[in-house]
Amino acid sequence: MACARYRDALSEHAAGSPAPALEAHLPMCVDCRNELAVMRRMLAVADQQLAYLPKAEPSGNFVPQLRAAVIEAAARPVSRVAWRWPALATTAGIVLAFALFSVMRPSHEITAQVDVPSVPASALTAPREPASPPAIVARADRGTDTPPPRRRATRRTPAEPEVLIPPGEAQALLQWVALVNREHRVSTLLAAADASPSQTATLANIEIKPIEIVPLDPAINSGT
Amino acid sequence: MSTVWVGAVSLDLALEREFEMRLHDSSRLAFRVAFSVLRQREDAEDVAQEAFLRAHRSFASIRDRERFRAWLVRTTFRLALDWMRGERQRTRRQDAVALEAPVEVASTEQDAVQSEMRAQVAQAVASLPEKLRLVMVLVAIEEQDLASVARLLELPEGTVKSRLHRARKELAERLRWLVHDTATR
Repeated sequence: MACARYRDALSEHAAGSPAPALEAHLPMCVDCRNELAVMRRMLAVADQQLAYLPKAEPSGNFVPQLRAAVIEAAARPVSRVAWRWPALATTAGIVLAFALFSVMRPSHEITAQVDVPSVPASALTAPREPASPPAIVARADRGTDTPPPRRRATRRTPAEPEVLIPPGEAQALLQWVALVNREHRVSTLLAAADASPSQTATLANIEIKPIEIVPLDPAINSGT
Repeated sequence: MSTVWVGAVSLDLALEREFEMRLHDSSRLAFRVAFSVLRQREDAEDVAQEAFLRAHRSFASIRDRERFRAWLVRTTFRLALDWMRGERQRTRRQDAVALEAPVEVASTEQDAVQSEMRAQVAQAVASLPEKLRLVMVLVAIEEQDLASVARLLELPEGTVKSRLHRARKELAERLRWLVHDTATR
């Protein structure tokens, strides 16, 4: 076995690097000399094997066969399904994600129901709270005979839009909708309505009575 | 520019002509790289053919001669290593007679020793890290022309030289341990 301190130098030297310290040591150490000789002999065998590579030749019909294989492979139709699977899967994923997003997304749009003109007045729903005052804003400049229409925050339900109309305002609403529809000025009119807060009637102050808190538990009420 | 449609793959005529030139120019190189790993002519030809089929599919991006040869060497080497690891090759090798350098032998006993040594050396070369092994093989194929190997690997010549030295040093190390293992058995 070679000396441990020269092991690395031995392989370096066998690979062809100069190693002065090792060269000075070799005349005094038989083991290191033997090991170096073995490594050199084995490397020579490796070189001999590798030296055969430039002489290795393929068979005589290798190149014609290669050419034929390339032509044949080029002529073979690529499996259409194979390369389309990833594209199909991606598309399906996008569609599914979009569908889920559309179904689950809460709609907060404030919409003016302008697609009503073809609907007869009777089809409009009756007010649910006839005695209540106008819900949000009443326009003061529309004249007394034609009470202004209401913009109402509604959740858009594609199948059956719902419009709540105060009593006696159905006809006026229809006329307004027809006007808007005819003039194609939905955005203009809505913008104008929002732009002048001075023209809007304010709601009367709401009086809130002090709240009396009464415990529900009779035992507590009776003090026992 | 005229285009030839062959099945699903199309290459324009100029590209086809260039590919034909590359095939003629580099088929032997691909074979030798594969052969350095597989040591079996039939397998080496199969692997080289597969490398050329892949090259044909990607030819538009590797049409430059140097780039093509570099790509071909790397691809063939990797394919050969994969092939070597595959079950198909393992079963076929049992009956195969490897093509090796002819060795002059004086006696049956010497023949047995040489054969054992060659097997050990082949095992040691095969166990080298891939990038060192590839450099060693290409230097042998290109007959010690380091500049040519540097072009094939798209590396600086100094890097090739240093890798070659590391490869030989590692090989010497491995051979040393193989000899010790054999001696202590």
